[in-house]
Amino acid sequence: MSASVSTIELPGLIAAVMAVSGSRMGGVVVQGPASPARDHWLRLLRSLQPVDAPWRRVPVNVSDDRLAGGLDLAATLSSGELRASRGLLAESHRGMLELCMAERQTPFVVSAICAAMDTGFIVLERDGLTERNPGRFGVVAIDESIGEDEALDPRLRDRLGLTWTLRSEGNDGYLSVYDDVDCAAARALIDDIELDQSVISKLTAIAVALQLQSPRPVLQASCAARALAALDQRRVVSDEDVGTAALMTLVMRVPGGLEALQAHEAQPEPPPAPPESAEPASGADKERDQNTPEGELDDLIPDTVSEAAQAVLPPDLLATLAQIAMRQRQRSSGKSGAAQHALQRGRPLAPVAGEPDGRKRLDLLATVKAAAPMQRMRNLDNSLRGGALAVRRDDLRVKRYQQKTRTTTIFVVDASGSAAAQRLAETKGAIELLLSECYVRRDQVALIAFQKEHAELTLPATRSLVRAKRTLAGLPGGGGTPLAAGLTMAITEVQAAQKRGESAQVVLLSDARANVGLNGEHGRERAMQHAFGVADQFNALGVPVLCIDTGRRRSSLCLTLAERLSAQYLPLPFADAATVSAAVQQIL
Amino acid sequence: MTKQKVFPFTAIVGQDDMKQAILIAAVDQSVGGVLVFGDRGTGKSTAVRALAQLLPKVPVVPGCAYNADPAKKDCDCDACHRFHRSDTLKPRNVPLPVVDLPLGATEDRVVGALDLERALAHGEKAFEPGLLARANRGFLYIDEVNLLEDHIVDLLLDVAQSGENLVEREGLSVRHAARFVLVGSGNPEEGELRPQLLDRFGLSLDVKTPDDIDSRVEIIRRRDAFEQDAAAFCRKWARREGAVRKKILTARDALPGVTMPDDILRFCAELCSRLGTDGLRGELTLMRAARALAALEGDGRVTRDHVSRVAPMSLRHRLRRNPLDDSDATVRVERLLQELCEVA
Repeated sequence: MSASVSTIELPGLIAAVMAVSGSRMGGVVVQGPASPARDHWLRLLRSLQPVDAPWRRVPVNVSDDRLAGGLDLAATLSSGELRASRGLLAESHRGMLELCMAERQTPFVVSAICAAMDTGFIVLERDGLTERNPGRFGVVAIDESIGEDEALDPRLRDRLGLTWTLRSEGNDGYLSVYDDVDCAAARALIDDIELDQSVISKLTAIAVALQLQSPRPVLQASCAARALAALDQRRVVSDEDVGTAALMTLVMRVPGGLEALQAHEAQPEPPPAPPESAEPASGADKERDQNTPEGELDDLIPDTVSEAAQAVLPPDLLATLAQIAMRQRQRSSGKSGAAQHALQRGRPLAPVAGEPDGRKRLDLLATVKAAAPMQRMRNLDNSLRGGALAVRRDDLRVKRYQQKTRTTTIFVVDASGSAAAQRLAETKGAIELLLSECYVRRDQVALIAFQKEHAELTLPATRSLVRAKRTLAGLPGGGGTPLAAGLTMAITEVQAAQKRGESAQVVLLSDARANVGLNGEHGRERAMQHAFGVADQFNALGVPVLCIDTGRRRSSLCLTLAERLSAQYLPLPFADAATVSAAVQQIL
Repeated sequence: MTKQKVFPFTAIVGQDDMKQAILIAAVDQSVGGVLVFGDRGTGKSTAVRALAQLLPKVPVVPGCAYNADPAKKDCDCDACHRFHRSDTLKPRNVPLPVVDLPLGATEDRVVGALDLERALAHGEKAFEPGLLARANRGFLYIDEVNLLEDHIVDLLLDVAQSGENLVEREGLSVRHAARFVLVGSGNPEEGELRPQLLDRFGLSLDVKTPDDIDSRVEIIRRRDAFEQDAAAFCRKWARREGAVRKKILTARDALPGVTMPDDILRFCAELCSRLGTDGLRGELTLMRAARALAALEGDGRVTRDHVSRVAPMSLRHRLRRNPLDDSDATVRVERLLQELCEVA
């Protein structure tokens, strides 16, 4: 019998393990909205840290130089020599770095943190400064993402070992069996803990079963196992440590992991069926479940290791989770990157007068140049300044960048029986062509397909040709025409793109012969009514729309729809991929 | 400052293609860089950072910010002038530099700029060399190269092409040698690389997480041992590291003597023309990579086998992109190789 730890004890244990293993663990992801429970847990973690260990918070709007370090303007101007300011990363050396709203942090912030985590150093190359400071810290990422279009940056997720999901029912009495004295003792011991090769085999088998590709989670799990043994003042890792470590690093990482674990606790025997509560399964999910061949699961885990691995976890938990993981993977292979490319790109323009703030960076050279001619005069005014440069507010100059707004082209494609598979193939071709032509402009493409009873975001906004190809290859066709559902989803996607600060354009490919309404009921009249209703909402968004009539003959229905959408209408009965792509580039 | 122990190159499990490409670039820097694309956690940046430990020492002019070669009088800095006038100054032996270009680096630090400190304190106009100067004769490493800002990419393209950094800014006019091997890594799911930049890389590879359990366990075992006691781990691998270092050095010495028979040149040309690669860069890289491989393996002449083994990594990123042809570029190169070998 092993892994007897319950979900009640787990948060306290996770805090203790994090406090013991720190930068070696990478960090912990705390999932859930702001709540007293979350604050309590963070206080607990803090109390387990060494007294003098720093704890720095990174707000979501942190400036580059405050994070990674940069020019200390005040000191530089007053002393007349270059002075660097240490950033949050360097300041949190040997302590913790708390990332607020981690899912909203920009790719730059994530890259800077990941680079420091990989090398243990913060390298600064900017504003005339070259600095290298040690920076080994544990990351506490507060992840408040809700829904599918928000997620922690996958690069960061990969490097953070522990995961804790706060439950909504709240539990403001997290207790740790270990206190700060235990943690300090464990920190002294952890480097002497022996880890058997079989431990790594077991953890690897569990990771493979959970479809965790990257080797990092296993490394983090073995680190957790060591920390658990150290907390207990043992020099050898036990099976129980391995089970608990696997729970807090590997199982928790899988979405729905906590729910699955709780479901197992609720009814320990007989082994329950895959819990319905783990994932709100829609019709599509159920279908996929049936399509998943049982054998595939068994193939993943070689028998020899699998038995050993299973033994350290609650019975059947692994099988349940493996199914969830597989479903997750099918649904959103690599969808992660959606909001990732909002890098502040651009070509530098001439600096302008103005005061720097979080968004505008000071252009020191331009400022010095502006101040230079006035020096003699100012030094006469104020003889105390000595050799230092006298800079006035009027001299300040800020940097400007020329930045192009990126465009997301959303394809809304009729994949119904009436549109036929041929059409779909052409659309796929057009999307790939567009992508291959527009990646230099850093534009993105998304694809919504509607068929049968609902619409599906088949390809989330991406500019990766690799990902587009992978997703498009498996897009099936056939069934009814739920036009209204397709348009509704397009509205959501347009709004998501606008939220990311991008402009959106929509290409609708359909014959507009809707026969499935918004809530899935069949009937042409009702379906058209819904479609026109949604079209009016769509119109209010004010984004350019191209409506390509894919019917064999030009239909008045489609023309009317185009009018309601204020869309360009383009009948393309025999469109091929190249024609569609050319039309899109020309019109939008 | 404490020096961080780096995970040894030879302790990286599997990824033979990646290791070979890096060794080839270390033997013949003119192959023009390595691009490693692949999944997270495959040891891309580990391998590049480990390379620094293996590079041979070369003589440089002491005090020269551009790592100038004492044998050539091609540097115009004060240190070099002093060195070439003096009879007593000795060249310094330093390992070839591997310079990390952080993602947030600003333009002034990449190309070099006005030395602010001297400008502020003494009112002097002096040039402070940037990362490109430091990387001269060595390697410039960019992690997440596909996320690099466009104007920095433009800059690198220009310098990588000319081998010379020309700075015209802030009233300065400076020109210095900047010949470096570009090494980039990234995850293709996070964005494409601009084709112009792609073409600058001599060799390109796709790395994947190994599928078999044994390799995965071994990866974790070694990494875990390294993190537990880095110094002891590095000692354990020191002998193997030394062997590779020696291999690189021997190959660098042997390289000029490796011969390239005419029929092999024809073979390279045919490969490139059949694959429809643009320009001559493909042939050149293929030839140089094959020669470096032969040198690494102690062979005096290049064979078809050498060419075939480096062909996928030298050519896969130069094929004209055909969005409607789904087959992987590596597969296309290998298919043709097989075809040509059957004819021969």
